[in-house]
Amino acid sequence: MDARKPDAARPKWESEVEILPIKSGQIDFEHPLHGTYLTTGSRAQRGYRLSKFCMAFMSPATRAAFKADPERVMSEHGLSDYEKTLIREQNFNAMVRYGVNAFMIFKLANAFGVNQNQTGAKMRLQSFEEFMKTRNVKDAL
Amino acid sequence: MPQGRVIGGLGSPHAPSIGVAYNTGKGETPAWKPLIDGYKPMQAWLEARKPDLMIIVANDHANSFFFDRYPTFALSVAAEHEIADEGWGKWPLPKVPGHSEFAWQLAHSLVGQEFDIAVCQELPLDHGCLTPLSCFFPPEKRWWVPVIPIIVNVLQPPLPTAKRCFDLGRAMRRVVEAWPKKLDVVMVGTGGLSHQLSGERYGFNDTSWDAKFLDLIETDPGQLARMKHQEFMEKGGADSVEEIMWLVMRGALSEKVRRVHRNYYLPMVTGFAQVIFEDLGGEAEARRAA
Repeated sequence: MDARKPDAARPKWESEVEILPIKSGQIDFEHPLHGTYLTTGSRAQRGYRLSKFCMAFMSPATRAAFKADPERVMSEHGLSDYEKTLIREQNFNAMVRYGVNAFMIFKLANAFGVNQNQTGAKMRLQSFEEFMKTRNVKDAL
Repeated sequence: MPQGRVIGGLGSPHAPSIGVAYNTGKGETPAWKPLIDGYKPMQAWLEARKPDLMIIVANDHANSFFFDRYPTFALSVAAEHEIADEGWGKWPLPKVPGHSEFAWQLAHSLVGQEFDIAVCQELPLDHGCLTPLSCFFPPEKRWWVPVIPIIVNVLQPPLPTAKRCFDLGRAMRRVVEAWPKKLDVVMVGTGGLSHQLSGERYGFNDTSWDAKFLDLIETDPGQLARMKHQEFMEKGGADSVEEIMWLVMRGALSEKVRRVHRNYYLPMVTGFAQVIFEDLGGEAEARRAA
């Protein structure tokens, strides 16, 4: 996938905010790479609470509590309705765009029994089977 | 009389899948053998050269650090390091020994050279350090070399520039070479080559850029040090910007190096590369010889 190619299939998302107006000598925030959502600026702040929620899954107690009653754990962490919806739908693509770093999403995805590459396929808006057709060695999971 | 020296540098990926494959005995399977075999020369090199200290440059993956407080550079002075629970249980590994005596000197001398690094007395390690360490040291040999972890922010921009990372390595060499006791140090740069782990561009790779990167890190690292993060991300995917951690390793080595190992494998989503660079000595050794 070419980084600079606009993607006509990319869904519009009404609550998306841009990182602007950061000026950086290192990253051209005015021309974001296709399919790339860096965790910084206003996006990082928007995603902070949900990111913090993902961090709670480092604790075995949270993992067990979430398995037993996900709604209760989400409410205890003060998540917004939108954030809860993202989790219920396992919408990992929208989480990235919302401002959650991939390494935090992987912690949450694991609680659903979804591994990294299954998460990645969802970020690509593909089925896992479609995604795996693009890989060299199917058993190197 | 100063006796510390940098004897070489290793480059290694740090993806958790590799550590799991190695630690669960999948090294001989067709899927993993091309990569795991690439660690055999590295194990042999370490056995032969017997370093007194390994300085490993990696990033934390939201395990020791969260975005509530996020350092650009951090180093551990801890005497030993716990194994982190990243969200699916701890890897069954013994605690990793540190080297407090040198680490404190390193902290003082780096800040003295205006590299304002955060100092950690506790630093649980995640796959960023534990994948390469697992593969360098087979189970019966864990861990015979003390380790100082250097953690670099590659997750939440602003990230340190490639040049800053290269210069950090150079500053670290000066500290090693000023150490008054025998101290043979091996540097380790970790991280994938091309890869992107989020967004619709998840799974991006470019094998020709990866090959070019491996040429440049060996023969012309200054060219990489002049690259902007944007260029790394365009060429190799957003997460390949972690190649700046290889520049810390390379910056600590002599201007020219002897490459004795290079391997590359791209099975799934990340270009995995392994190298061994032997140091050809620097000014300090020349002074000593004179």
